[in-house]
Order: sequence, then structure tokens, then C-alpha cells
Amino acid sequence: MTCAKCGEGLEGLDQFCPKCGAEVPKLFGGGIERRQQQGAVSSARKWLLAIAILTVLSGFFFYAIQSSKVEDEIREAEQATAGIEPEERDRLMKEEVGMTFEEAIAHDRGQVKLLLLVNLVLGGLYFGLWRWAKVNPFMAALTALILFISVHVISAVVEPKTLIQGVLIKVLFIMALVRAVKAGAEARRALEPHPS
Amino acid sequence: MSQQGRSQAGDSPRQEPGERPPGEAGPSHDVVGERLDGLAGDANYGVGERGSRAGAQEVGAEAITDGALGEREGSDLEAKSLTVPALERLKLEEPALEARALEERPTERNALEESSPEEESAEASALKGESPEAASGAQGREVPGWCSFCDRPLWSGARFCGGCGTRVGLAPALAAGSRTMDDVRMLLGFFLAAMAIAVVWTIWFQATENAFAADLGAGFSLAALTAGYGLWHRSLLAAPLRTAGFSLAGYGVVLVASVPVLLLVSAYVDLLHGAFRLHEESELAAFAGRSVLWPLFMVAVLPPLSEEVAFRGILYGGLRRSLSVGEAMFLSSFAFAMLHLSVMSLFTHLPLGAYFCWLRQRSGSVWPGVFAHACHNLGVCLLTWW
Repeated sequence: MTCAKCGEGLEGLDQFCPKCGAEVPKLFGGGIERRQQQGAVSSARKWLLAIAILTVLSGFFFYAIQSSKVEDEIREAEQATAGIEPEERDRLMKEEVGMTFEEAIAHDRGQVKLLLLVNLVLGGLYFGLWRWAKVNPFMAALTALILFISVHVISAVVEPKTLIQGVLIKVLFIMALVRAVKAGAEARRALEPHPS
Repeated sequence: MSQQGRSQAGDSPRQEPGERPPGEAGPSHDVVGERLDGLAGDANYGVGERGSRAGAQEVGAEAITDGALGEREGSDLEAKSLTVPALERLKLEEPALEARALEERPTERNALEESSPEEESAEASALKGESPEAASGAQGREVPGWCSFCDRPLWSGARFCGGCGTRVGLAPALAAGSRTMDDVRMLLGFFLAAMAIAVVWTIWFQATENAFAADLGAGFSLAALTAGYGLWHRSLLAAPLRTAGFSLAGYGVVLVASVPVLLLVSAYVDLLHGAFRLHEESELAAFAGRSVLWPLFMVAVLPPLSEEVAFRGILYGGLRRSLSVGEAMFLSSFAFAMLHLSVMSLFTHLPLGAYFCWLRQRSGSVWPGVFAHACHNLGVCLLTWW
């Protein structure tokens, strides 16, 4: 009997190829655990890809909403301060928020753009983790878990109501990641080189 | 007997806090641990487990239940079915191996324990080279050792265990995935607790708008959490806290290096703020109108101390028990960066964390990292005032 992947000769009892580590297809017993691990990792990878796409899409969605909101606010502020001299207005603004009227407008617009950038970066990170999970599922899933929890804690601090938004998806994603971390920790013994 | 063999093989790469004799917790521990790490993966499991097995009849089944496999549900039957026949076959065909293993074992162990680093690596390769002579397996294949995970005999030249697919040369601690999960729990436990502290004080600040008190509260809470975690995992901290790590010249280099590091970080922050025309309030605004000692202590002394002890002392040291240098560096730095509650600061704090980790790895002490961190934070203060 030879390995289907690399052609190495196999012993009768070998369940994995001693040369390349490929699993030998067998009639009974064995391999169940490995298949469960692979299942957990591939499920987490699907989730990661979905979350990556969702993050990018919602980034654009919130950018559209936020920028129209900010533009409305700017228009309102301009109307409200129409009667005041520009110098007086800037002096009042500086006292209140530490910047001139023009600076405040640029700051608000900049924040909306930064939010878009953050979401695009996040989407990119999830996408990178999706790729990484193929090579090192344990590290990728654990990193994704830390990232995902942090991001949602940060947005919950900024805007408490985001905590319950899509709470089911969040819980399911975290569960998938935890399963993948566990499976990855188990699978590491086969997939990872010895740490040096 | 197999219990003994497993603990011998398992001890070197990863020591449980309680298991280490007090005398061993000296400054040199880290270096020794590092050295053994590499050794254990290549040769130690072969020696310890080969010896432990000699003479025992049901050793395969025993090792499965008392070892790491015992923790894994449903795997016993599967593992037995492939391990026991393999061992039985080995016994039928290789009586000479067991006799030889019995003879060799004590001297090999002693030599291994007493030898100096250079000799150890030489010995490790010598052992590997010698092993194939010890046994020739079925159909002319040789048995150089046993799988560190399922205790099945390995064929010479095998890169993976034929029984369970474990990579040959993997440290026993790594082979047992459950140990990795212990370290994961340690990392996530600290991270979530620190995150909760940050959230509570941020919300408290939003409610009261008292930035000074919120800064103090967050700083001291994190320090208290670190102290508690440090007491809990004090064996991880004993060595890195006790040694200075670098000579005075080394600290001088760290001081000089902190200038370009600071300039790079502040250039990134300025670029980001400039590109988006943001006007962020300075972190030091919370200390306006107070003694200059407050920002110095709350920015340049306390956070470097507690963050270095936490991330480079406890977490990095803990993760190193079952992960590689790069992986432990990445995870502890990633947690460190995300704890600053900003996605964009990932690009500055991840490299910073890696730099502090590198100092820890290089020196075996947390103090160079504390010094570099303090220099950096002090530099941020000076830049803000200036």
C-alpha cells in the first residue's frame, strides 16, 4: 500500500503517511477526531470570510448614513450661527471645543472618513485571518477571537446600543471561533513545526 | 513506570508552577528552559519514553489513559486500537530493543541532565543517530523512537507518526493540545478582565467627565489586576523580575533606540490626524492644572510597569510554554494593542509590543522592556509639552 498523496510505502497499520502526514483512507475506526477538527476549522473560516465581507459592506453603509448625518449637522450649525461674526464664532468655538468653526467641520468629516477606514482595515484583517487560518488555524482563530471581542467592546463603549445589534450572529461567530481555537490547539501537534 | 516517563519528558518544555523545586527558580531558569525546549523536541522524548516503556506489558493503553489523551473524549478506543497492536507487534519482533533500552536508559538520562549546552546538542544528535541501530522494525524499517503523543513506534526517517499523524520532533507539551488550551485560557482570562476594567472606567468617565479620576482608576485597577495575576502565576515572573537582563551599556542602547521608535510612532499619529484633519485632545489634558508629577507617574511609570509585567512577564512567558517565540510574541502583543481600545493604534502598538517582547526574549528579564516602555511614554509626554 502506498500513500495517495506522495507515493511513500505504508505499513499495514499506518493511518497517516509517515513522510507527508496525509491521512490514509480507512475502512473503520480512526480519523473521526481529525475530521471533527477540520470541520471546526473550515466552519470558522467560512465565518471569517462572511464577517470580512460584512464588515466592509457595513463600513460603506455606515459611512453613507454618518456622512449625511454630519452634513445635516453642519448645515444646521451654519444656520444657527449665521448671525454671529466669524471671529466671534471661532472664539466661542475655541472656548467650547478647542477648535475654530472650520476646524470643527473638518474634524467631524474626518471622523466619518476614519470610521470607513477603520472598517475597511478591519475587513482586511478578517480577510487576512481567513487566509491565515488555512496555514495556522489555531493562531488565526485566537487572533480573530481577540480582535472580534475588542472591536465590539470598543463600539459598545462608543455606542452602547451596538452591543445588542446582531447579537445572535456575534454569539455564533464567537462560538465558531472558540471551537476552531480548540480544534486548532489539538491539530497543531500535526500541522505545526516544532517551536524553536 | 509510564507515568514517570511521561512526566520526565513533559517537564522540560513546560513546567507547572507548583511542580518546580524552589531552588530551580533562579535567574538562569529561563535560559535553561529555552535550551531544554529545543532539546526535548528532538531527543528527550525518545530517551525518556523509550526507557519508561521497557518491561511494561500494557504500557500503550496506560500511556493513553494517564497521558494527555485521557482528557480527550472518545479517543481512547480509537487510539488503543491502533497503539496496542503496534506495540505488540514490536514486542514480538524486537525483544532486543527493550533489553537495550533498559541498559541504556539511566546513563542517558544522567548524561543529559549534567551536560553543558554544547554537549547537550551534540548528544541530542548523537542520540538520534544512534537510535536506528537500536532497533530494526518490520520489513527492514527501523524504529528510532516513539510518537510523543500516542506512543506508537516511529519508523526511521518518518516525519509524521503513522498512527496519529503527529509531527515527529514535536515537544510532548505541544503534542498534548490541551496544554495549549490552558495557556489560551490564561491569555483570554487576563485579556477579558483587563478589557472589562478599561470599559468600566471609560463608561465612568463618560458619565462623570472626570478624566483625572478615570485615568487614576484605570491605571491603578490594571496595576492591581496585574499584581493579582502575577501572584497567581508567580513562577512565571520569578526569573524575569529577578534579573536586570542587560548591562548598563545595554540600557544605554535601549535609551538611544527609544528616540527613533518615538519619532516613528508620533509620525504615524501625526500623519493619521493630519490626513483626517482630526483635533484629538491630548492624553495629558486630564492632568492639566496639577503637579507635573501626576502625568509623569500615571503615564511614564505606572503603565510601563504594569503592562510590561502583565504582557511581557506573565502572558508572554506563559504562552511560551506551548507556543513558539513568534506566536507568543504576536499573541501577547496583539492583546496588548487591542487593550488600548483603538483599531488604528494596532499599527503602532503591535510593533511596539513585539519590540518589548523581543527585549524580554533577548534579555530574559522584563526590566529592559519596562525601561524602553517608560522612555517611550516619557518621550510622548515631552513631545506633547514641547
